[in-house]
Amino acid sequence: MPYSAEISRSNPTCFVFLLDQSGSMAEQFGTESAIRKADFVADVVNRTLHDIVIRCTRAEEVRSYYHVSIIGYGASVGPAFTGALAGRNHVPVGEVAERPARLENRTKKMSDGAGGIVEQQVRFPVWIDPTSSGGTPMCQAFDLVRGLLEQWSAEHRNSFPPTVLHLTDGESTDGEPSEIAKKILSLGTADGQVLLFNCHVSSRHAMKIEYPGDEGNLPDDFARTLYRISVPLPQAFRKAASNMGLNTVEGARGFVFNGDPVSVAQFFEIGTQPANLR
Amino acid sequence: MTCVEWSLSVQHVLLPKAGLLKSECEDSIGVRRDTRRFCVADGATEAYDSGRWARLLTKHWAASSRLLTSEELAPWMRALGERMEKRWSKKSLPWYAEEKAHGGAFAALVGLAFFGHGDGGPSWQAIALGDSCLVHRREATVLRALPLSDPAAFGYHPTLVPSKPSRQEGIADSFIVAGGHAQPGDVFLLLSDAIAAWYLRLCSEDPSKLAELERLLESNDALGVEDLISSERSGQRLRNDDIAIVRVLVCSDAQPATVARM
Repeated sequence: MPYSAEISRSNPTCFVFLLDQSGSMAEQFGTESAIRKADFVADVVNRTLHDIVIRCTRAEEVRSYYHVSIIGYGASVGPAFTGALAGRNHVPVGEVAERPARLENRTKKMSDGAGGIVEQQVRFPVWIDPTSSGGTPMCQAFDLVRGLLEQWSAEHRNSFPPTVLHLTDGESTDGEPSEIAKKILSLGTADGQVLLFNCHVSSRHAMKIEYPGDEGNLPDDFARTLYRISVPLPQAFRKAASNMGLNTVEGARGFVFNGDPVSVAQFFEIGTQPANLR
Repeated sequence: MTCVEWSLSVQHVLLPKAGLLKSECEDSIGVRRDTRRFCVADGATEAYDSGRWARLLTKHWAASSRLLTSEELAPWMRALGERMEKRWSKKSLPWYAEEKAHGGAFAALVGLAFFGHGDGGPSWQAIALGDSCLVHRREATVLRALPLSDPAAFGYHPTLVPSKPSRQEGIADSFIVAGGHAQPGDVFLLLSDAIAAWYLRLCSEDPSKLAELERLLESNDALGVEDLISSERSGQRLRNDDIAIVRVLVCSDAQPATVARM
């Protein structure tokens, strides 16, 4: 059965965060929101990395069940880690934990275990900063990911296949991305093909479409292109969606169109939930 | 290792998940011949430092002469939890460990104690919280399994023993407390969740495999037990999880009594 491989230190899996960092990401996120898309996405990715590290923490050790890459595309295309991990790809999560760019102090609301909520000061790690400039060279970005995953998949034949979480707010400015995306989808491990999930966000107030099972309600060719290069959600991911109150149909694709801030947060949470950690 | 002890013959096994080191096992076993107390704890992998919490619970529960009622369990859990807090607060932890430590550790716990002699055998008392189980077998019949007896009931995030004193409110009342009488020949098994679910499922599906496990345990065949576990994991009949087994056979005075760690 595909997507059932146990994830362990000897058979880790791989996450690629593929982020649109074009100039339009500097726009506000929706009409009611004061936050810029680039700021929000950077914050969500930092939170997602934080959650992944916490999930892999056993006492004082972080077990490297995952390898993490962050690719940004806009004025340039390449690794988007800032700080000590700048320029790196496939970083073991243990090293991600040890080497954030900085630790910020934040207040977190937590359960006190007795039905109440307490505010607690926590150290919040930052690995990427918001970036927004240039066009949307999606083809070039996909090609970089293809190269990364070709190598990784060949070296990890028995692992749970890589997951690519792609976020964009607009159409490609360097050509039609389908063919290169299909090359990514042709890769995989003995446990299944690469999981490519796509999340489109919009500055306009438009109806969002989350995890559709067919393309009947998609508004245009761009939406249909992203739908067709998105993989159906395996069972563990559908379960994660269900736990967030999102009921998906059998065959639902890992695809969001016109996503709002809530959709983006859920997209990254669902996409980083492959089960079966050893 | 075999030595003479009362009229209980005991074997126990502790195995980590396949592919992990023994030192990474988060299950723990407590076996005390002097107090005639036996227990298994299963530290929750997703929580912080749960293996240590499981070891602390088993060590102290087995060494005690009480801790069989919710009134006794509550202050005991609090004292041990405070000990864990103190240990963590003394250290300068990296950001991820500090945050995870805020949530504390969790573990399932099942304990079994034997007392005196009734007509032909001792009486027993047990406490249990979570999904580590006690199975009381007489010949081929399971007389009792607790706190879970249905193999389908595993895997649903049961209430566990939290280390954080602030999370322990009402937990002592959630323990299952049970007791009864045993006869010579009765077998008691303390099992962590994966092997408990496997055991209870095979009671109806393939009892011969259970007999094989017990035969291997009784003959102190550690390699045989490991091979059986490994084969069951490979066949995906047994979840790849830490394994803790304590098997207690009630012997008549005429039978030799042993304690064996495999």
